[in-house]
Amino acid sequence: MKYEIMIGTVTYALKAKDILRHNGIKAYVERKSVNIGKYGCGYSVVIKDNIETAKTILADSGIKILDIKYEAAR
Amino acid sequence: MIYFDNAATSGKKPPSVINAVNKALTELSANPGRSGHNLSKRASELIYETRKNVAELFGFEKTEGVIFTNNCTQSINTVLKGVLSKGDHIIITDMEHNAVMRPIAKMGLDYTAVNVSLTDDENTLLNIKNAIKPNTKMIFVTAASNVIGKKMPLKDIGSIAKENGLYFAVDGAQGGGVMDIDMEKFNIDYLSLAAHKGLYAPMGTGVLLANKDIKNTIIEGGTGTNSISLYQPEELPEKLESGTVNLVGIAGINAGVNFVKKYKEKIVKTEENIITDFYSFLKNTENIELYTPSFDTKNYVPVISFNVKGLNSQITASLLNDNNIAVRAGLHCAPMTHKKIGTLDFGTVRVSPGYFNTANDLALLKKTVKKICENRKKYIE
Repeated sequence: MKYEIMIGTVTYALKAKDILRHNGIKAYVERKSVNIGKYGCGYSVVIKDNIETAKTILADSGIKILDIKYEAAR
Repeated sequence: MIYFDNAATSGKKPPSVINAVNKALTELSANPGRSGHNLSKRASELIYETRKNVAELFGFEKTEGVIFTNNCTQSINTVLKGVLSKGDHIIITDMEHNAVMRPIAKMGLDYTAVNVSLTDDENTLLNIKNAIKPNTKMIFVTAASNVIGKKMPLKDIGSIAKENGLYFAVDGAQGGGVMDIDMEKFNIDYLSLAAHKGLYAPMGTGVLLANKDIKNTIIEGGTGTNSISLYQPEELPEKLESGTVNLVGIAGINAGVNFVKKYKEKIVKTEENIITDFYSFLKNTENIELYTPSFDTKNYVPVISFNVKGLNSQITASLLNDNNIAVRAGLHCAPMTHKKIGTLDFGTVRVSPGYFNTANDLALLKKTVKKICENRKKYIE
């Protein structure tokens, strides 16, 4: 399973990745819009779990989350 | 060529910068922040790392506030046109470069150019305080003059700006990489840098460090995100970086910043030793005109202007060029400074050493200047 956290710009997505990793959450950046019709193109930071913790960490760091998509294990 | 024109651009680039540029060209030729493939992602990561690296050098915490531009002039225009409007008053100094003066003139801004004392910073600070009016919005100063090297007391000016609720912007073209400039400690809101000078990056690279928002954009276009909207994104840095960024140049910035971080003490010492020696030589040479009462490393960056008495500065520079020595003569795009020192009609010869200048370079410069002085009557028009 994974969570795609839609951040928007690549700069903020990379910043989000840095912050999450610094807090022990493995994360990587994908060029992926959670909802291309709504947000256009953009970048997401992808994590496997700890979504609630991740949301709090990013909010505390002033990083805006546009949307989150959950993908169950295939 | 013996290169003493580092105030124009750092003549010799470190091998690490050349290697980084070469690597970006050969291994990372992909558009950062646009595609999803691994090459594009690696390119994006390099850009991001460079932002962090630059931010760290200047005591700046906001990585996203590091914006890449084509040069310091573009950074300065971005600040002035992005933050101020007609009717706003801006305080500047009487040593500002045309990169500041021309946009101010074009925008029709109300401005006060305060007199900078070459001997007493307290005097300068008082002049700045006295220039504040009800419609003053910003204090914009050069970190150091590109003509005479005079450093501005940035920390104290930042305090004045903060106490009076004014934006504080700095033209760091000459200071960046050589002076200690700390965005947070000096309360700097906007710092414009010429990466190709003190940061040893290729030409065509500038940086803007923005601690506060920049309301108006001067270029709009594709940013690789939120493309569904016809409006420019509000988030920095993408708000101010439309179109493809200069990845190769930015790779050079990253390597240049690493070089400065590693060798800053040596860089500063080398340049200061050369210019101190040269100033002393000029002071003791007949028929030389100097325009600063002294040279000390606390109050001046390594930039000196002089003239051979009776000779137009362009002639002296041309004679130096004939002897394989590169300097810059004329008004240095800073007519206000030349008006201040009384050289508007004939300019000055500017010598600005770099880290790669040697004692031998200096010896040849001194020898050639001496020869020109001894034979000057031959060249007087």
